[in-house]
Amino acid sequence: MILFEVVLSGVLVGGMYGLIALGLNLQYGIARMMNLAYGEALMGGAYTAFWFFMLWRIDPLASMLFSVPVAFCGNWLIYRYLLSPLIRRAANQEILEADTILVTFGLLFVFQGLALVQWGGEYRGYTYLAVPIDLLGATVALNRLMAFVAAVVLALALYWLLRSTRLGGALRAIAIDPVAAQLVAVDVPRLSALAFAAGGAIMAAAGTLVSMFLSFNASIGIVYTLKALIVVIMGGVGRMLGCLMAGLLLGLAEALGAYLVDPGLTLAINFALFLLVLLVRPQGLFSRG
Amino acid sequence: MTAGPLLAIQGLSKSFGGLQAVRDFDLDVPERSIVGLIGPNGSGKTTVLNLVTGEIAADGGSVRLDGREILGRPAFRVCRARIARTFQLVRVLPGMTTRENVLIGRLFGSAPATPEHARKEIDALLDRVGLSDLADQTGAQLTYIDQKRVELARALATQPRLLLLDEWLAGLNPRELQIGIELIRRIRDEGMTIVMIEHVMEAIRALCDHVVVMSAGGLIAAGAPDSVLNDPEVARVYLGDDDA
Amino acid sequence: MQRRTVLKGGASLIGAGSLPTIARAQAPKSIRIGYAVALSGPYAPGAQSTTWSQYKLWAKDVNDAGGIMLKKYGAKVPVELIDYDDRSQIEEAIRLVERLILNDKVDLVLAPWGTATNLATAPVFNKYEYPVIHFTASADRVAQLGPRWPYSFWALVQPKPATAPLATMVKKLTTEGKIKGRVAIMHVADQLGVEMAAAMQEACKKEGVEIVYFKSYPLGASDLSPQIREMMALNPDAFFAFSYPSDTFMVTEQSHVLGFSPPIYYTGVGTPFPAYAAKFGAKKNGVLIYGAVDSTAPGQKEYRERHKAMYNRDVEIGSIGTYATMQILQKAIEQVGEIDRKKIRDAIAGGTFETIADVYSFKGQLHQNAWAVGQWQGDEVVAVYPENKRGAKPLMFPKPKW
Ligand SMILES: Nc1ncnc2c1ncn2[C@@H]1O[C@H](COP(=O)(O)OP(=O)(O)O)[C@@H](O)[C@H]1O
Ligand SMILES: [Mg+2]
Repeated sequence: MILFEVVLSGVLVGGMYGLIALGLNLQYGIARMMNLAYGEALMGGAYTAFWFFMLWRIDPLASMLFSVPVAFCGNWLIYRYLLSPLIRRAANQEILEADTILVTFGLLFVFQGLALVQWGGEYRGYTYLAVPIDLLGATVALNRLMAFVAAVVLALALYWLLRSTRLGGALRAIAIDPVAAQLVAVDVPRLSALAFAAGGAIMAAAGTLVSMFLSFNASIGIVYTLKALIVVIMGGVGRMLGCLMAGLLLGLAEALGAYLVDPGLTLAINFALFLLVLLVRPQGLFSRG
Repeated sequence: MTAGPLLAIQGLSKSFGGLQAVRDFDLDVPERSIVGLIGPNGSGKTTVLNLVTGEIAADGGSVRLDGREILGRPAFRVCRARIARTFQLVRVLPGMTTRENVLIGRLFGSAPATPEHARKEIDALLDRVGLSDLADQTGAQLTYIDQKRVELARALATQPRLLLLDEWLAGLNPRELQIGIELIRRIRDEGMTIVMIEHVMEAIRALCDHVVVMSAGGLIAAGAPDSVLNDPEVARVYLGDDDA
Repeated sequence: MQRRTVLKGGASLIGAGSLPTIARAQAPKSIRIGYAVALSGPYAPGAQSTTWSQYKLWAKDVNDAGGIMLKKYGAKVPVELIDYDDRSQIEEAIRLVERLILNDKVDLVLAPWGTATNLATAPVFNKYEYPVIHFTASADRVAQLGPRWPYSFWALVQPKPATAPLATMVKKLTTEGKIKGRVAIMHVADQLGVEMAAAMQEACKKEGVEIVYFKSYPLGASDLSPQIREMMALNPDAFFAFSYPSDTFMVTEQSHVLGFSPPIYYTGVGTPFPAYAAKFGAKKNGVLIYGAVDSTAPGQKEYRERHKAMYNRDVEIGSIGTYATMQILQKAIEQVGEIDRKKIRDAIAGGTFETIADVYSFKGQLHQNAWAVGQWQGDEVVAVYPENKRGAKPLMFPKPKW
């Protein structure tokens, strides 16, 4: 029974990993921008949920109606006015990557600094639906279950959008080959901005969900940026389903490793898995070709 | 419509650092004609195509389609102006199936269609380039030749008036070459204007109304295929050590 | 800028020429105090709320009162803070402390934030003989380093004295027949967690207390419910988590959800935070805490009000302790009556200091009898162990069931 609960724990956490990796994949896989400030949108979503809940008792899920559009617009502006000018300026891909990493690293400090000044450094958390739910005999917290369901719904919706719509086709084409895409009249700059903005919006949603069951402070962003990066590299840059799978796999490996080997080794297992993937399938676990 | 050429290039120039890849290049392409662009490797042919499609920015000159300037437009707008191309080094989208590859062209392209409508058309198009059997294979699974067909089909799916082919016939065996030549001829007969970069002289002779020869970024000869291909200067450029 | 310098120079010339020789030396314009703490990077939130905010508040309090009395000059001298951001990088902190001393030539340098940074910068303070009271540092090594670093003082409770009372408590309750004495320990796999857990393990062994569960979890773990389930199956009646804030919050919430409610429930850093109280409300009652302050200490109430006025938020005990170290420093300076770092060091080493947190006295530069264990009792954090100290409240047992 405990083993089943361990697996369940892994799956619940893994769903969240999958979601944040999807968002990063939109930014890195489609818009081709390595955004080190990616996690700051999660921080923003978490703080929004927290304050809405503490000040006005607004349901955290409802707070997404505010934080998600704000994150979308904010990320769009960042892409449009901070990052895309770099494309024009950079002589080649390496310079562009170095430039974006520098700029977004600066952004990370700006956002974190703003949060610190505004809300201080202390940990924040609120209690929301922290009630036990019986799931096939195992006990899980309702907030975690809700967050998982929301994450999976969001992820599947995104997956469907990319797979089955005209817009999704264009985004996938950009992810594969932006030069070829623009030569079939895909407006690559505009759709890249859209993908980048959507990635940020997803992260804000993830922040809301995470804040329902974890405490956080102003420095939480980078933790999730790194987590997402690991999952994206494992799942394959530009591969959406691969990222979902890799997220679940990582969550499972963490939970099972903690239970079967030692909880203190979770990080080690995490990185061992990551290195193994890099060595065996550097193109990503679930990438074709 | 104007009576002038469909595509008119004038004084087109581009240099990469110190290298003058295209210099003061002029070319007129009449409607419904096939113009051959030949010249040794590195003479700037592909660069001309890249400049026309807006993939890279020109240093100077003018490119008019139907009298309207298109130089300086982003690539996706050039495509919407109804210019399509294939690549010397094929660029199919490897993660997508043949059908999806072509569908992208139809869904965006110059006259975007609704997905249902597009899907129907795509099957006819795949049939025409001989890809029906491979419709559900991913780009990465296809052979080189089939990837070239996918590229052509994708270009056609955007519904261009002007088609730019970059060594599309290279690497075909004699039988495939005949099929390829036939296909291009048929496309032209249906009203397409074509510029083709080609090394296969047999195809040039069979298809082109007009041939221009580039060397070191500049135009060195132009005229009917037979006269140009028999020009001793052209032969020297091709065989000699000019562009080593 | 330049004009002001010229004016000032002129003024002092006139002063020197026209006034009779003054009996006392001229008091310095200000006491210049520097520090480097993390204002950006991963340490920033902790450093900002526990350390930086207290340095600022203290300087404001001192200057509002006219400054620090320097007997030698018979004048109150205001303090001037020179601050740097070490960007959460230890090498940068070392560099900045050195820079404050050598380039800025400040009178005193305050401690940075965090155990690792404090341990890494201590040699610099001692090399240049700058007295420093480290607060946010707890490590076994500190006890042995005392003699090597005569200018460093360590004010926080260290792992051994922090855990010994816990084992004694379990032993006592077991002998009284109130619990079976089955102890479950989990700790974050980071320096503080590891050392605390090891000290606890040793203390339990000494007391003959049975440990039924002992495991670590990684920093940044996102789910501890499997571990809680595992512990529940072992039916412990005392639970100790040597944890950091985010895991403290998580393990507490998950214990609520899973119904893990042993009569002794102890968690680490973060337990006394205002955010903890806000999140868990009445359920915090009876939870034991790593560290404490004497809530009845003179001046603490007024301090809390000043803190609230300046930052518009409640204070946690780490901040109170940090502020207390500033009071110690201030008292030592006043005792000496001038900025003489050797004398200030000796004053700290030999004195007993009443502060808003505790009564401090250092032996071997270590605050020996520091508050070790606190407890949420109602809406207040009270000090419980060591139980013989002034201000100690009796243990609330058992913790009410969740
Ligand atoms: N993007 C580029 N950057 C730098 N040099 C280039 C670039 N594209 C082409 N060149 C150079 O320009 C010259 C012409 O190339 P290209 O147009 O590809 O020749 P062709 O197609 O006639 O073989 C070559 O010397 C090539 O190396
Ligand atoms: Mg070429």
